[in-house]
Amino acid sequence: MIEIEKLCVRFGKFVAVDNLSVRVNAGKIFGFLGPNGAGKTTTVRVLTGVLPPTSGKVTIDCLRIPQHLGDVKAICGFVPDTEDHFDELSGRANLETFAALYGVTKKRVDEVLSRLELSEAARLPVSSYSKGMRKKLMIAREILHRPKVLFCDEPTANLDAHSTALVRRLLMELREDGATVFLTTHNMAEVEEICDQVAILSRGRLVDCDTPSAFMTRHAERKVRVEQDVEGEQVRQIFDLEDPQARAELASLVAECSDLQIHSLDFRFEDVFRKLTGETYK
Amino acid sequence: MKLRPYVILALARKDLARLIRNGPALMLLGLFVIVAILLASSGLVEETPQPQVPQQEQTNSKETREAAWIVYEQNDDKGWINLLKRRAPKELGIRFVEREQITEEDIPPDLCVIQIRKPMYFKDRDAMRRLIQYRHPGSDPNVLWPVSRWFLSVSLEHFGKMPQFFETIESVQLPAQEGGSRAALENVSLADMLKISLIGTVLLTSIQFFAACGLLVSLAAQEREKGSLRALLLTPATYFEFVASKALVHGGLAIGTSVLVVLAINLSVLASLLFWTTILLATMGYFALGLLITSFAKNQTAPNLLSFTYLLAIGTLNLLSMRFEVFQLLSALTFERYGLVFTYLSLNSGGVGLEASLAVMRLPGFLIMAILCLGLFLVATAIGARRLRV
Repeated sequence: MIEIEKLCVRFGKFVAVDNLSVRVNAGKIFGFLGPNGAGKTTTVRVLTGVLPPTSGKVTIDCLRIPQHLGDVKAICGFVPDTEDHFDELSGRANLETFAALYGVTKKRVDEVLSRLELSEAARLPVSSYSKGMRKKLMIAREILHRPKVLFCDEPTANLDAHSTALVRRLLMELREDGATVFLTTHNMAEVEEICDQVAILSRGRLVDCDTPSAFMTRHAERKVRVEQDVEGEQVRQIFDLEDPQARAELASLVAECSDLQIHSLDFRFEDVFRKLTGETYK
Repeated sequence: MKLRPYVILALARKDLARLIRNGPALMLLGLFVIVAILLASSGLVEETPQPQVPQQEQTNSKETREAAWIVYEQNDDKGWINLLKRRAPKELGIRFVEREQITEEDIPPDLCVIQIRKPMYFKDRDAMRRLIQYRHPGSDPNVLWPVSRWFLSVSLEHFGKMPQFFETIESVQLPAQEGGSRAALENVSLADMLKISLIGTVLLTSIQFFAACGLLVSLAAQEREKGSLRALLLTPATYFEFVASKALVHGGLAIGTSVLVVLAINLSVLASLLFWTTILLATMGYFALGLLITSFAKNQTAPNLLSFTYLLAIGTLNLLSMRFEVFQLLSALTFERYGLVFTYLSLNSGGVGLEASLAVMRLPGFLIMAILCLGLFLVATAIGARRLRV
């Protein structure tokens, strides 16, 4: 569905995206991760046609960008990270404007409002909406025309637990309907929960790209955390089971002490992210 | 270049809904109309008097329809005098007389007379200065109105801006009533009679600037700053449809409010092709200016300041151009200079006929205005296409 080949974006001497090649299959949720300034937003801007690429080839549904931007716009939706509503207008009026531009019926507007649990507030001006409601309205706006590809930049930021679950469920429903979701997020739990494919970007370069389960297989560490009480103080030790010496130490410790608590260390995407990008996750 | 009506209408409906919720803007536009209505009810606006042929004329009107004389000096501007002669409406019964051919006693006391004299200190740079003496029979100076209105309009056309006339009005009591004795001269300025056209011009220009430029800049810059414009342009709507919808709303608002003002001050102006063409071109010019400013605007504050600074600069430039020749060229390159003149002309001429309108529209000044407005619109659209489109 989305094919990026050797994409380069330069601003003067600064290279924002460097030789990026990624392929996203149809009907998948694609997680696009990277520390701040890694080039995620620049890539999305190229994919949505806002920014022309310096070099490389980008196609969506076999339509090349920016050459076929007009056709691409009709099959894409973009949920930006900052809200961009017409505040004076009601939620419904905002949606109706976009519905008219996409040639979508008013019935669909009602359907989307109901799906995002915004029906009750539909008549109120957007200026009176909470941040979460605004975010949901933005998502509602972008799924009005049933896009084949939905670009989402931090779609669950500022949402409460209920709305977060609602949005994640919605994204999964879109996937079931055959849509491709290109998700830029900093929420690692979200990546683990809903993404089918994950790419990690650092300083404009692609560091890794795989499925979350493959990431787990490749990056999960066979380590255990051992806790014991030594003269009233809780002492913790980590043992790497891949290391024969550490394994021997653990065995002797188990033999000597009877009050040990042994925990296996879970796979955490955040650790993988940090390891691959070499940066502390913010 | 796609221009789909349903997309343009959807965008226009959105802009209109935003405008309706913009209280201060609507209040200001309403204020322009209220000023026009107050002006209309203040007595400055009067029904245009029909040409009043003196009593003696009416009795033998078949023999002579002469109702007014224009007395001019032989060495005066030939082009101007010839234009006056060509554009003299038959129904006004105007006769042109060279001053050198007659004496003061030859001037009939029962006719309206406009005497044109060059000032004694005439120099090249004072080419537009004249002493204009209006004379009318009876005690009602309104009888001069049709002749003076025509005279001033044609003079404006010729000179391209308001000539520097030093005007006096002289009242002559009809011989039948006062035994031929001439009444004392009254130095009554024609300023009051012209006020309505001048104020109307200021009102219309302000409306066009505010609705087509100021309001466009304010709302579009807000959309750009918030990212709403990007959201719109990421839909199948194209940049040209965006411009068309803005033109529809802001142009419509400017022209609609102008029509309300004209309805209040002089209904007959609405029949003038010159009025509609002038207002359309001026609105196009101001809209293009607004689009140009919006193209470079990153936030709301700067463009708002810029648009009003521009208006101030244009006003100052036009004033300076009257005093200093160096500013005349600069002033000639602004469409506002011509817009003001032709708006004034269309208001002053009232329901001028189609033929007269077409004659004015063939003047170099009008063509220059049309070229400037259209050129500015094309340039602004092209620049906007590069800077605003997705």
